[in-house]
Amino acid sequence: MKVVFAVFQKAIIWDYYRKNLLFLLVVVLFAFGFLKGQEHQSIVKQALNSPKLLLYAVFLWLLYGVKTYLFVLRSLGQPDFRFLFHLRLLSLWQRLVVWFYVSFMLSQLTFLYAVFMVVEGLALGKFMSVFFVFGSQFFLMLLGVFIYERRIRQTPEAKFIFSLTFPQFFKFRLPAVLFYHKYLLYKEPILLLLTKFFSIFSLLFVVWLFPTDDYDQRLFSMLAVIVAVSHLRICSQYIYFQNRHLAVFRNLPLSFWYKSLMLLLGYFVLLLPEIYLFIAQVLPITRLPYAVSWLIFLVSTIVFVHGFQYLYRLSDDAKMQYFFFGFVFLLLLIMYKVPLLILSGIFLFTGFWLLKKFENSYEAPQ
Amino acid sequence: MMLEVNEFRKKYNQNLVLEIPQLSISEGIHWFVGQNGSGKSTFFKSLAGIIPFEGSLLFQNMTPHEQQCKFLVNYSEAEPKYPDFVTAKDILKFIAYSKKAPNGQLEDLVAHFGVVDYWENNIGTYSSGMLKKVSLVSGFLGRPQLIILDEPFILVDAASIDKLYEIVARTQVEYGTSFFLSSHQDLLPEKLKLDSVFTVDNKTIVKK
Repeated sequence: MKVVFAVFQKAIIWDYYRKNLLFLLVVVLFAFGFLKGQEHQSIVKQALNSPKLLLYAVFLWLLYGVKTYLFVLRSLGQPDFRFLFHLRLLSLWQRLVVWFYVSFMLSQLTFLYAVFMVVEGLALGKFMSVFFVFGSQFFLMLLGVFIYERRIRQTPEAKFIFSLTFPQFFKFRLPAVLFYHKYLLYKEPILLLLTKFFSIFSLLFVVWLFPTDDYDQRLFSMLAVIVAVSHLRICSQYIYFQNRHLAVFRNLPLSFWYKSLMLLLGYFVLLLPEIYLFIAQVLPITRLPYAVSWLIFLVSTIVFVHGFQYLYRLSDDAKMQYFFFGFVFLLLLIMYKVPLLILSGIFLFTGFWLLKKFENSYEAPQ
Repeated sequence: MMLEVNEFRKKYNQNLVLEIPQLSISEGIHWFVGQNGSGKSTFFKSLAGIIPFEGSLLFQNMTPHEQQCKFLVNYSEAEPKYPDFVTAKDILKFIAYSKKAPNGQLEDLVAHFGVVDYWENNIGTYSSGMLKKVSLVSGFLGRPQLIILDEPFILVDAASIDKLYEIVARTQVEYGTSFFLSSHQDLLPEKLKLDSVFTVDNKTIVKK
Protein backbone atom coordinates (compact mmCIF):
# COMPACT_ATOMS: atom_id res chain seq x y z
CA MET A 1 0.00 0.00 0.00
CA LYS A 2 2.93 2.34 0.65
CA VAL A 3 3.69 2.39 -3.06
CA VAL A 4 0.09 3.25 -3.90
CA PHE A 5 0.07 6.11 -1.40
CA ALA A 6 3.33 7.40 -2.87
CA VAL A 7 1.92 7.32 -6.41
CA PHE A 8 -1.25 9.19 -5.46
CA GLN A 9 0.74 11.64 -3.39
CA LYS A 10 2.96 12.53 -6.35
CA ALA A 11 0.30 12.38 -9.05
CA ILE A 12 -2.53 14.21 -7.30
CA ILE A 13 -1.65 15.73 -3.93
CA TRP A 14 1.64 17.40 -4.84
CA ASP A 15 0.26 18.35 -8.23
CA TYR A 16 -2.69 20.07 -6.55
CA TYR A 17 -0.52 22.08 -4.16
CA ARG A 18 1.94 22.98 -6.92
CA LYS A 19 -0.79 24.23 -9.24
CA ASN A 20 -2.66 26.08 -6.50
CA LEU A 21 0.34 27.64 -4.81
CA LEU A 22 -0.73 31.14 -5.71
CA PHE A 23 -4.31 30.60 -4.59
CA LEU A 24 -3.17 29.18 -1.24
CA LEU A 25 -0.74 32.05 -0.78
CA VAL A 26 -3.54 34.56 -1.35
CA VAL A 27 -5.78 32.76 1.15
CA VAL A 28 -3.05 32.57 3.78
CA LEU A 29 -2.11 36.20 3.17
CA PHE A 30 -5.75 37.12 3.53
CA ALA A 31 -6.34 35.08 6.67
CA PHE A 32 -3.12 35.83 8.53
CA GLY A 33 -1.84 39.01 6.90
CA PHE A 34 -4.80 41.19 7.74
CA LEU A 35 -6.03 39.49 10.91
CA LYS A 36 -3.96 38.96 14.03
CA GLY A 37 -4.00 35.80 16.16
CA GLN A 38 -6.23 37.40 18.80
CA GLU A 39 -8.72 38.45 16.14
CA HIS A 40 -8.86 34.85 14.89
CA GLN A 41 -9.54 33.69 18.44
CA SER A 42 -12.41 36.13 18.90
CA ILE A 43 -13.90 35.18 15.50
CA VAL A 44 -13.70 31.47 16.41
CA LYS A 45 -15.28 32.10 19.83
CA GLN A 46 -18.13 33.99 18.18
CA ALA A 47 -18.61 31.18 15.65
CA LEU A 48 -18.65 28.50 18.34
CA ASN A 49 -21.44 30.41 20.10
CA SER A 50 -23.47 30.98 16.95
CA PRO A 51 -24.85 28.10 14.82
CA LYS A 52 -25.44 30.58 11.99
CA LEU A 53 -21.77 31.58 11.87
CA LEU A 54 -20.76 27.92 12.04
CA LEU A 55 -22.94 27.22 9.01
CA TYR A 56 -21.18 30.02 7.11
CA ALA A 57 -17.83 28.46 7.97
CA VAL A 58 -18.98 25.03 6.79
CA PHE A 59 -20.27 26.62 3.56
CA LEU A 60 -16.80 28.09 2.91
CA TRP A 61 -15.21 24.70 3.60
CA LEU A 62 -17.67 23.09 1.21
CA LEU A 63 -16.68 25.54 -1.54
CA TYR A 64 -13.04 24.69 -0.96
CA GLY A 65 -13.97 21.01 -0.93
CA VAL A 66 -15.68 21.39 -4.33
CA LYS A 67 -12.49 22.95 -5.66
CA THR A 68 -10.45 19.90 -4.58
CA TYR A 69 -13.06 17.41 -5.86
CA LEU A 70 -13.05 19.07 -9.29
CA PHE A 71 -9.28 19.03 -9.38
CA VAL A 72 -9.15 15.26 -8.78
CA LEU A 73 -11.92 14.63 -11.33
CA ARG A 74 -10.12 16.72 -13.95
CA SER A 75 -6.85 14.91 -13.26
CA LEU A 76 -8.50 11.50 -13.62
CA GLY A 77 -10.01 12.61 -16.92
CA GLN A 78 -6.63 13.42 -18.46
CA PRO A 79 -4.88 10.79 -20.58
CA ASP A 80 -1.65 11.26 -18.56
CA PHE A 81 -3.38 10.06 -15.42
CA ARG A 82 -5.11 6.99 -16.83
CA PHE A 83 -2.65 4.72 -15.05
CA LEU A 84 -4.36 5.73 -11.80
CA PHE A 85 -7.36 3.65 -12.89
CA HIS A 86 -5.28 0.58 -12.02
CA LEU A 87 -6.44 1.34 -8.51
CA ARG A 88 -9.51 -0.71 -9.45
CA LEU A 89 -7.36 -3.81 -9.09
CA LEU A 90 -7.27 -3.27 -5.32
CA SER A 91 -10.07 -4.33 -2.98
CA LEU A 92 -12.85 -1.87 -2.14
CA TRP A 93 -11.52 -1.24 1.36
CA GLN A 94 -8.02 -0.57 0.12
CA ARG A 95 -9.40 1.86 -2.47
CA LEU A 96 -11.44 3.67 0.18
CA VAL A 97 -8.34 4.04 2.36
CA VAL A 98 -6.39 5.52 -0.57
CA TRP A 99 -9.17 7.94 -1.43
CA PHE A 100 -9.56 8.96 2.21
CA TYR A 101 -5.83 9.69 2.29
CA VAL A 102 -6.14 11.82 -0.86
CA SER A 103 -9.22 13.61 0.45
CA PHE A 104 -7.60 14.24 3.84
CA MET A 105 -4.39 15.60 2.36
CA LEU A 106 -6.23 17.91 -0.03
CA SER A 107 -8.40 19.39 2.70
CA GLN A 108 -5.49 20.43 4.94
CA LEU A 109 -6.22 24.13 4.47
CA THR A 110 -9.63 23.89 6.08
CA PHE A 111 -8.86 20.90 8.32
CA LEU A 112 -6.06 22.68 10.19
CA TYR A 113 -8.31 25.66 10.85
CA ALA A 114 -11.02 23.24 12.03
CA VAL A 115 -8.49 21.70 14.45
CA PHE A 116 -7.81 25.20 15.80
CA MET A 117 -11.57 25.67 16.27
CA VAL A 118 -11.88 22.29 17.98
CA VAL A 119 -9.10 23.14 20.45
CA GLU A 120 -10.76 26.47 21.24
CA GLY A 121 -14.14 24.77 21.53
CA LEU A 122 -12.87 22.13 23.96
CA ALA A 123 -11.30 24.85 26.11
CA LEU A 124 -14.64 26.67 26.18
CA GLY A 125 -16.64 23.49 26.78
CA LYS A 126 -18.67 23.95 23.55
CA PHE A 127 -18.90 20.23 22.85
CA MET A 128 -21.85 20.41 20.44
CA SER A 129 -20.05 22.98 18.29
CA VAL A 130 -16.87 20.92 18.43
CA PHE A 131 -18.81 17.86 17.30
CA PHE A 132 -20.39 19.87 14.47
CA VAL A 133 -17.02 21.24 13.28
CA PHE A 134 -15.37 17.83 13.42
CA GLY A 135 -18.38 16.10 11.86
CA SER A 136 -18.62 18.54 8.95
CA GLN A 137 -14.91 18.11 8.16
CA PHE A 138 -15.28 14.35 8.27
CA PHE A 139 -18.37 14.54 6.07
CA LEU A 140 -16.58 16.70 3.45
CA MET A 141 -13.71 14.21 3.32
CA LEU A 142 -16.11 11.27 2.95
CA LEU A 143 -17.95 13.15 0.21
CA GLY A 144 -14.65 13.36 -1.65
CA VAL A 145 -14.07 9.62 -1.13
CA PHE A 146 -17.55 8.88 -2.52
CA ILE A 147 -17.03 11.11 -5.60
CA TYR A 148 -13.58 9.73 -6.42
CA GLU A 149 -14.64 6.11 -5.94
CA ARG A 150 -17.66 6.68 -8.18
CA ARG A 151 -15.41 8.16 -10.87
CA ILE A 152 -12.85 5.37 -10.76
CA ARG A 153 -15.62 2.83 -11.36
CA GLN A 154 -16.33 4.46 -14.73
CA THR A 155 -14.13 4.12 -17.78
CA PRO A 156 -11.18 6.57 -18.02
CA GLU A 157 -12.76 8.10 -21.15
CA ALA A 158 -16.06 8.91 -19.39
CA LYS A 159 -16.48 12.65 -19.12
CA PHE A 160 -17.49 14.42 -15.96
CA ILE A 161 -20.19 16.72 -17.19
CA PHE A 162 -21.83 19.39 -15.12
CA SER A 163 -23.79 21.79 -17.23
CA LEU A 164 -26.77 24.01 -16.73
CA THR A 165 -29.84 24.04 -18.92
CA PHE A 166 -31.67 27.29 -19.29
CA PRO A 167 -35.29 27.72 -20.35
CA GLN A 168 -36.17 28.61 -23.95
CA PHE A 169 -36.77 32.29 -23.20
CA PHE A 170 -33.11 32.64 -22.28
CA LYS A 171 -32.20 32.21 -25.94
CA PHE A 172 -31.22 35.35 -27.82
CA ARG A 173 -28.85 36.31 -30.58
CA LEU A 174 -25.47 35.90 -28.97
CA PRO A 175 -22.63 38.22 -30.02
CA ALA A 176 -19.27 36.48 -30.44
CA VAL A 177 -17.76 38.48 -27.58
CA LEU A 178 -20.07 36.58 -25.20
CA PHE A 179 -19.37 33.04 -26.46
CA TYR A 180 -16.85 32.46 -23.71
CA HIS A 181 -19.19 33.76 -21.02
CA LYS A 182 -21.86 31.31 -22.14
CA TYR A 183 -19.24 28.57 -22.15
CA LEU A 184 -18.38 29.37 -18.53
CA LEU A 185 -22.04 29.47 -17.59
CA TYR A 186 -22.88 26.16 -19.28
CA LYS A 187 -19.70 24.12 -19.09
CA GLU A 188 -17.69 25.53 -16.19
CA PRO A 189 -20.31 26.88 -13.76
CA ILE A 190 -18.37 25.68 -10.71
CA LEU A 191 -15.20 27.44 -11.85
CA LEU A 192 -17.17 30.63 -12.49
CA LEU A 193 -19.01 30.36 -9.18
CA LEU A 194 -15.88 29.69 -7.11
CA THR A 195 -13.92 32.48 -8.82
CA LYS A 196 -16.69 35.01 -8.37
CA PHE A 197 -17.36 33.91 -4.81
CA PHE A 198 -13.71 34.27 -3.87
CA SER A 199 -13.17 37.65 -5.51
CA ILE A 200 -16.46 39.11 -4.26
CA PHE A 201 -15.83 37.76 -0.78
CA SER A 202 -12.35 39.34 -0.87
CA LEU A 203 -13.82 42.65 -1.97
CA LEU A 204 -16.47 42.69 0.76
CA PHE A 205 -13.89 41.65 3.35
CA VAL A 206 -11.60 44.57 2.43
CA VAL A 207 -14.55 46.97 2.44
CA TRP A 208 -15.40 45.73 5.95
CA LEU A 209 -11.75 45.92 7.06
CA PHE A 210 -10.95 49.37 5.64
CA PRO A 211 -12.61 51.58 8.26
CA THR A 212 -11.47 49.42 11.21
CA ASP A 213 -7.83 50.51 11.31
CA ASP A 214 -5.37 52.97 9.80
CA TYR A 215 -5.49 51.47 6.33
CA ASP A 216 -5.10 53.59 3.22
CA GLN A 217 -6.04 53.15 -0.44
CA ARG A 218 -3.19 50.69 -0.99
CA LEU A 219 -5.42 48.08 0.62
CA PHE A 220 -7.84 48.42 -2.32
CA SER A 221 -4.94 48.32 -4.78
CA MET A 222 -3.81 45.03 -3.23
CA LEU A 223 -7.39 43.84 -3.49
CA ALA A 224 -7.31 44.49 -7.26
CA VAL A 225 -4.26 42.20 -7.51
CA ILE A 226 -6.04 39.51 -5.50
CA VAL A 227 -9.14 39.77 -7.70
CA ALA A 228 -6.96 39.51 -10.82
CA VAL A 229 -5.09 36.51 -9.44
CA SER A 230 -8.34 34.77 -8.57
CA HIS A 231 -9.19 34.98 -12.30
CA LEU A 232 -6.03 33.15 -13.33
CA ARG A 233 -7.82 29.96 -14.33
CA ILE A 234 -10.58 31.92 -16.07
CA CYS A 235 -7.86 33.47 -18.27
CA SER A 236 -6.15 30.17 -19.10
CA GLN A 237 -9.54 28.59 -19.76
CA TYR A 238 -10.32 31.45 -22.17
CA ILE A 239 -7.37 30.48 -24.37
CA TYR A 240 -8.22 26.79 -24.08
CA PHE A 241 -11.79 27.59 -25.17
CA GLN A 242 -10.62 29.59 -28.19
CA ASN A 243 -8.27 26.84 -29.34
CA ARG A 244 -10.53 23.90 -28.61
CA HIS A 245 -13.88 25.23 -29.81
CA LEU A 246 -13.17 28.18 -32.07
CA ALA A 247 -9.86 27.34 -33.73
CA VAL A 248 -11.39 28.13 -37.11
CA PHE A 249 -11.88 31.74 -35.97
CA ARG A 250 -8.12 32.14 -36.43
CA ASN A 251 -8.89 32.10 -40.14
CA LEU A 252 -11.00 35.25 -39.74
CA PRO A 253 -9.51 38.54 -40.93
CA LEU A 254 -9.93 40.38 -37.63
CA SER A 255 -7.61 43.31 -37.01
CA PHE A 256 -5.42 43.40 -33.90
CA TRP A 257 -7.39 46.36 -32.57
CA TYR A 258 -10.69 44.58 -33.07
CA LYS A 259 -9.40 41.51 -31.21
CA SER A 260 -8.00 43.70 -28.44
CA LEU A 261 -11.32 45.48 -28.08
CA MET A 262 -13.14 42.12 -27.95
CA LEU A 263 -10.77 40.98 -25.23
CA LEU A 264 -11.19 44.14 -23.16
CA LEU A 265 -14.95 44.03 -23.54
CA GLY A 266 -15.05 40.33 -22.69
CA TYR A 267 -13.12 40.79 -19.46
CA PHE A 268 -15.05 43.94 -18.60
CA VAL A 269 -18.30 41.93 -18.78
CA LEU A 270 -16.73 39.14 -16.70
CA LEU A 271 -15.66 41.64 -14.05
CA LEU A 272 -19.00 43.46 -13.91
CA PRO A 273 -20.00 42.02 -10.49
CA GLU A 274 -16.73 43.19 -8.91
CA ILE A 275 -16.88 46.56 -10.69
CA TYR A 276 -20.47 47.12 -9.60
CA LEU A 277 -19.68 46.22 -5.99
CA PHE A 278 -16.60 48.42 -6.01
CA ILE A 279 -18.56 51.40 -7.28
CA ALA A 280 -21.41 50.78 -4.83
CA GLN A 281 -19.30 50.04 -1.75
CA VAL A 282 -15.97 51.78 -2.20
CA LEU A 283 -16.73 54.91 -4.19
CA PRO A 284 -18.43 56.57 -1.20
CA ILE A 285 -15.29 56.10 0.95
CA THR A 286 -12.64 57.03 -1.61
CA ARG A 287 -12.03 59.61 -4.35
CA LEU A 288 -13.32 59.35 -7.91
CA PRO A 289 -9.88 59.59 -9.62
CA TYR A 290 -8.61 56.73 -7.47
CA ALA A 291 -11.71 54.64 -8.22
CA VAL A 292 -11.19 55.15 -11.97
CA SER A 293 -7.49 54.25 -11.78
CA TRP A 294 -8.41 51.16 -9.67
CA LEU A 295 -10.81 49.94 -12.38
CA ILE A 296 -8.20 50.50 -15.13
CA PHE A 297 -5.59 48.72 -13.01
CA LEU A 298 -7.86 45.70 -12.47
CA VAL A 299 -8.68 45.26 -16.16
CA SER A 300 -5.09 45.86 -17.27
CA THR A 301 -3.74 43.29 -14.79
CA ILE A 302 -6.16 40.71 -16.20
CA VAL A 303 -5.16 41.62 -19.76
CA PHE A 304 -1.52 41.06 -18.81
CA VAL A 305 -2.34 37.68 -17.21
CA HIS A 306 -4.20 36.74 -20.41
CA GLY A 307 -1.33 37.82 -22.67
CA PHE A 308 1.19 35.93 -20.52
CA GLN A 309 -0.65 32.65 -21.19
CA TYR A 310 0.43 32.88 -24.85
CA LEU A 311 4.07 32.23 -23.91
CA TYR A 312 3.83 28.68 -25.22
CA ARG A 313 7.49 27.89 -24.61
CA LEU A 314 6.91 28.14 -20.85
CA SER A 315 5.43 25.12 -19.11
CA ASP A 316 2.42 25.56 -16.84
CA ASP A 317 4.66 25.09 -13.81
CA ALA A 318 7.07 27.77 -15.00
CA LYS A 319 4.16 30.14 -15.63
CA MET A 320 2.89 29.55 -12.09
CA GLN A 321 6.32 30.35 -10.69
CA TYR A 322 6.41 33.60 -12.66
CA PHE A 323 2.92 34.46 -11.45
CA PHE A 324 3.88 33.67 -7.87
CA PHE A 325 6.94 35.93 -7.83
CA GLY A 326 5.15 38.53 -9.93
CA PHE A 327 2.31 38.59 -7.40
CA VAL A 328 4.69 39.19 -4.47
CA PHE A 329 6.65 41.81 -6.46
CA LEU A 330 3.46 43.62 -7.42
CA LEU A 331 2.31 43.77 -3.81
CA LEU A 332 5.68 45.29 -2.89
CA LEU A 333 5.35 47.91 -5.64
CA ILE A 334 1.94 48.83 -4.27
CA MET A 335 3.33 49.00 -0.74
CA TYR A 336 5.99 51.43 -2.03
CA LYS A 337 3.21 53.57 -3.49
CA VAL A 338 4.01 53.16 -7.18
CA PRO A 339 1.05 54.88 -8.91
CA LEU A 340 -1.61 52.51 -10.23
CA LEU A 341 -1.81 54.25 -13.60
CA ILE A 342 1.89 53.61 -14.26
CA LEU A 343 1.46 49.92 -13.41
CA SER A 344 -1.71 49.82 -15.56
CA GLY A 345 0.16 51.33 -18.51
CA ILE A 346 2.93 48.74 -18.21
CA PHE A 347 0.43 45.86 -17.93
CA LEU A 348 -1.73 47.02 -20.82
CA PHE A 349 1.24 47.59 -23.08
CA THR A 350 2.92 44.29 -22.18
CA GLY A 351 -0.35 42.31 -22.30
CA PHE A 352 -1.26 43.52 -25.78
CA TRP A 353 2.33 43.20 -26.98
CA LEU A 354 2.37 39.54 -25.89
CA LEU A 355 -0.96 39.03 -27.62
CA LYS A 356 0.26 40.58 -30.87
CA LYS A 357 3.63 38.83 -30.86
CA PHE A 358 2.65 35.34 -29.77
CA GLU A 359 -0.99 34.80 -30.70
CA ASN A 360 -0.22 33.53 -34.20
CA SER A 361 2.60 31.26 -33.04
CA TYR A 362 0.61 29.87 -30.12
CA GLU A 363 -0.50 26.29 -30.42
CA ALA A 364 -2.42 24.35 -27.82
CA PRO A 365 -0.53 21.29 -26.50
CA GLN A 366 -1.35 18.20 -28.59
CA MET B 1 1.75 31.32 -59.14
CA MET B 2 -1.04 31.54 -56.59
CA LEU B 3 0.80 29.67 -53.87
CA GLU B 4 4.54 29.36 -53.27
CA VAL B 5 5.85 26.95 -50.64
CA ASN B 6 9.51 26.89 -49.62
CA GLU B 7 11.20 24.86 -46.89
CA PHE B 8 7.88 24.30 -45.16
CA ARG B 9 8.09 22.20 -42.01
CA LYS B 10 5.54 21.35 -39.39
CA LYS B 11 6.23 19.52 -36.14
CA TYR B 12 3.94 18.37 -33.34
CA ASN B 13 5.77 17.85 -30.06
CA GLN B 14 9.12 17.81 -31.91
CA ASN B 15 7.85 15.11 -34.30
CA LEU B 16 8.08 16.13 -37.93
CA VAL B 17 4.75 15.49 -39.64
CA LEU B 18 5.14 17.41 -42.89
CA GLU B 19 8.08 18.76 -44.85
CA ILE B 20 7.77 20.41 -48.26
CA PRO B 21 11.08 21.63 -49.75
CA GLN B 22 9.44 23.43 -52.67
CA LEU B 23 5.96 23.54 -54.17
CA SER B 24 4.13 25.96 -56.47
CA ILE B 25 0.43 25.81 -57.17
CA SER B 26 -1.44 27.90 -59.74
CA GLU B 27 -5.11 28.88 -59.81
CA GLY B 28 -7.72 26.18 -60.38
CA ILE B 29 -9.33 23.22 -58.66
CA HIS B 30 -6.80 20.97 -56.97
CA TRP B 31 -7.31 17.61 -55.34
CA PHE B 32 -5.17 16.44 -52.39
CA VAL B 33 -5.23 12.76 -51.64
CA GLY B 34 -3.54 10.99 -48.74
CA GLN B 35 -4.17 8.55 -45.96
CA ASN B 36 -5.51 9.54 -42.56
CA GLY B 37 -2.80 11.38 -40.66
CA SER B 38 -0.72 12.01 -43.77
CA GLY B 39 -0.71 15.78 -43.17
CA LYS B 40 -3.45 17.14 -45.47
CA SER B 41 -5.29 18.99 -42.70
CA THR B 42 -2.00 20.21 -41.24
CA PHE B 43 -1.07 21.78 -44.58
CA PHE B 44 -4.53 23.31 -45.00
CA LYS B 45 -4.62 24.68 -41.46
CA SER B 46 -1.18 26.22 -41.93
CA LEU B 47 -2.35 27.87 -45.14
CA ALA B 48 -5.49 29.16 -43.41
CA GLY B 49 -3.41 30.76 -40.63
CA ILE B 50 -4.85 28.48 -37.96
CA ILE B 51 -1.63 26.78 -36.86
CA PRO B 52 1.99 28.02 -36.86
CA PHE B 53 4.69 26.42 -39.01
CA GLU B 54 8.32 26.84 -40.02
CA GLY B 55 9.45 27.99 -43.45
CA SER B 56 7.71 30.02 -46.09
CA LEU B 57 4.13 29.73 -47.29
CA LEU B 58 3.08 32.62 -49.50
CA PHE B 59 -0.38 33.08 -50.96
CA GLN B 60 -0.14 35.83 -53.56
CA ASN B 61 3.00 36.99 -51.75
CA MET B 62 1.19 37.22 -48.42
CA THR B 63 1.80 35.09 -45.34
CA PRO B 64 -1.24 33.24 -43.95
CA HIS B 65 -1.21 35.34 -40.77
CA GLU B 66 -1.71 38.62 -42.61
CA GLN B 67 -5.18 40.06 -42.22
CA GLN B 68 -5.61 40.61 -45.97
CA CYS B 69 -4.67 37.00 -46.67
CA LYS B 70 -7.44 35.80 -44.39
CA PHE B 71 -9.95 37.67 -46.53
CA LEU B 72 -8.72 35.73 -49.54
CA VAL B 73 -8.33 32.23 -48.09
CA ASN B 74 -11.31 30.42 -46.54
CA TYR B 75 -11.14 27.11 -44.75
CA SER B 76 -13.83 24.51 -44.05
CA GLU B 77 -12.77 21.92 -41.47
CA ALA B 78 -12.85 18.16 -42.01
CA GLU B 79 -14.37 17.56 -38.61
CA PRO B 80 -15.75 20.90 -37.48
CA LYS B 81 -15.62 21.81 -33.81
CA TYR B 82 -17.87 24.57 -32.57
CA PRO B 83 -19.17 25.25 -29.05
CA ASP B 84 -22.28 23.07 -28.66
CA PHE B 85 -24.22 25.69 -26.68
CA VAL B 86 -24.37 28.36 -29.39
CA THR B 87 -26.40 28.28 -32.58
CA ALA B 88 -25.03 27.92 -36.10
CA LYS B 89 -26.69 31.25 -36.82
CA ASP B 90 -24.58 32.99 -34.15
CA ILE B 91 -21.38 31.46 -35.53
CA LEU B 92 -22.15 32.01 -39.22
CA LYS B 93 -23.36 35.60 -38.72
CA PHE B 94 -20.05 36.44 -37.06
CA ILE B 95 -18.00 34.75 -39.79
CA ALA B 96 -20.06 36.52 -42.46
CA TYR B 97 -19.46 39.85 -40.73
CA SER B 98 -15.71 39.20 -40.37
CA LYS B 99 -15.29 38.05 -43.97
CA LYS B 100 -17.35 41.02 -45.21
CA ALA B 101 -19.84 38.74 -46.94
CA PRO B 102 -22.09 40.54 -49.45
CA ASN B 103 -25.69 41.18 -48.40
CA GLY B 104 -27.86 38.09 -48.75
CA GLN B 105 -24.95 35.70 -49.35
CA LEU B 106 -25.30 33.94 -46.00
CA GLU B 107 -29.06 33.50 -46.45
CA ASP B 108 -28.53 32.04 -49.95
CA LEU B 109 -25.88 29.61 -48.71
CA VAL B 110 -27.85 28.31 -45.72
CA ALA B 111 -30.84 27.81 -48.03
CA HIS B 112 -28.67 26.03 -50.63
CA PHE B 113 -27.24 23.53 -48.13
CA GLY B 114 -30.47 23.18 -46.12
CA VAL B 115 -28.87 24.60 -42.99
CA VAL B 116 -31.67 27.13 -42.62
CA ASP B 117 -33.97 24.42 -41.21
CA TYR B 118 -31.96 24.02 -38.02
CA TRP B 119 -29.52 26.90 -37.74
CA GLU B 120 -31.40 28.55 -34.89
CA ASN B 121 -30.99 25.45 -32.68
CA ASN B 122 -27.99 24.92 -30.44
CA ILE B 123 -25.13 23.11 -32.17
CA GLY B 124 -25.19 20.42 -29.48
CA THR B 125 -28.39 19.08 -31.05
CA TYR B 126 -26.85 18.59 -34.54
CA SER B 127 -25.74 15.36 -36.17
CA SER B 128 -22.21 15.22 -37.60
CA GLY B 129 -23.65 15.70 -41.12
CA MET B 130 -25.58 18.81 -40.09
CA LEU B 131 -22.45 20.22 -38.49
CA LYS B 132 -20.40 19.46 -41.60
CA LYS B 133 -22.85 21.48 -43.71
CA VAL B 134 -22.45 24.45 -41.35
CA SER B 135 -18.71 24.22 -41.90
CA LEU B 136 -19.21 24.05 -45.71
CA VAL B 137 -21.36 27.19 -45.59
CA SER B 138 -18.65 29.00 -43.63
CA GLY B 139 -16.11 28.11 -46.34
CA PHE B 140 -18.00 30.07 -49.00
CA LEU B 141 -18.62 33.28 -47.03
CA GLY B 142 -17.12 36.51 -48.34
CA ARG B 143 -15.27 36.82 -51.66
CA PRO B 144 -12.24 34.54 -51.18
CA GLN B 145 -9.85 33.68 -53.98
CA LEU B 146 -9.08 30.27 -52.52
CA ILE B 147 -11.52 28.00 -50.70
CA ILE B 148 -10.05 25.03 -48.86
CA LEU B 149 -12.54 22.23 -48.31
CA ASP B 150 -11.01 19.59 -46.07
CA GLU B 151 -12.63 16.18 -46.68
CA PRO B 152 -15.79 17.82 -48.07
CA PHE B 153 -17.52 14.60 -49.06
CA ILE B 154 -17.42 12.80 -45.74
CA LEU B 155 -20.37 12.92 -43.32
CA VAL B 156 -22.80 14.50 -45.80
CA ASP B 157 -25.55 12.75 -47.82
CA ALA B 158 -25.61 12.23 -51.61
CA ALA B 159 -27.97 15.16 -52.23
CA SER B 160 -25.64 17.53 -50.37
CA ILE B 161 -22.64 16.23 -52.34
CA ASP B 162 -24.42 17.14 -55.58
CA LYS B 163 -25.16 20.60 -54.20
CA LEU B 164 -21.52 20.96 -53.29
CA TYR B 165 -20.36 20.01 -56.81
CA GLU B 166 -22.78 22.53 -58.22
CA ILE B 167 -21.71 25.43 -56.02
CA VAL B 168 -17.98 24.71 -56.44
CA ALA B 169 -18.32 24.78 -60.25
CA ARG B 170 -20.54 27.87 -60.16
CA THR B 171 -18.26 29.80 -57.78
CA GLN B 172 -15.23 29.08 -59.91
CA VAL B 173 -16.96 30.23 -63.09
CA GLU B 174 -18.54 33.36 -61.59
CA TYR B 175 -15.69 34.61 -59.38
CA GLY B 176 -12.62 32.73 -60.59
CA THR B 177 -12.21 31.18 -57.15
CA SER B 178 -9.66 28.40 -56.72
CA PHE B 179 -10.34 25.31 -54.65
CA PHE B 180 -8.24 22.88 -52.62
CA LEU B 181 -10.20 19.73 -51.86
CA SER B 182 -8.95 16.69 -50.01
CA SER B 183 -9.82 13.08 -49.48
CA HIS B 184 -8.30 10.09 -47.74
CA GLN B 185 -9.66 7.81 -50.47
CA ASP B 186 -8.21 7.36 -53.97
CA LEU B 187 -11.55 8.05 -55.68
CA LEU B 188 -11.61 11.24 -57.73
CA PRO B 189 -14.71 13.43 -57.89
CA GLU B 190 -16.27 12.63 -61.27
CA LYS B 191 -18.41 15.74 -61.53
CA LEU B 192 -15.55 18.21 -61.10
CA LYS B 193 -12.94 19.23 -63.64
CA LEU B 194 -9.70 18.97 -61.70
CA ASP B 195 -6.64 20.98 -62.70
CA SER B 196 -4.22 18.83 -60.75
CA VAL B 197 -3.93 16.09 -58.16
CA PHE B 198 -1.43 16.13 -55.28
CA THR B 199 -0.38 13.16 -53.22
CA VAL B 200 0.25 13.65 -49.53
CA ASP B 201 2.49 10.81 -48.44
CA ASN B 202 5.81 10.14 -46.71
CA LYS B 203 5.48 13.42 -44.82
CA THR B 204 5.50 15.52 -47.97
CA ILE B 205 3.28 16.71 -50.84
CA VAL B 206 4.06 16.03 -54.49
CA LYS B 207 2.18 16.67 -57.71
CA LYS B 208 0.89 13.46 -59.30
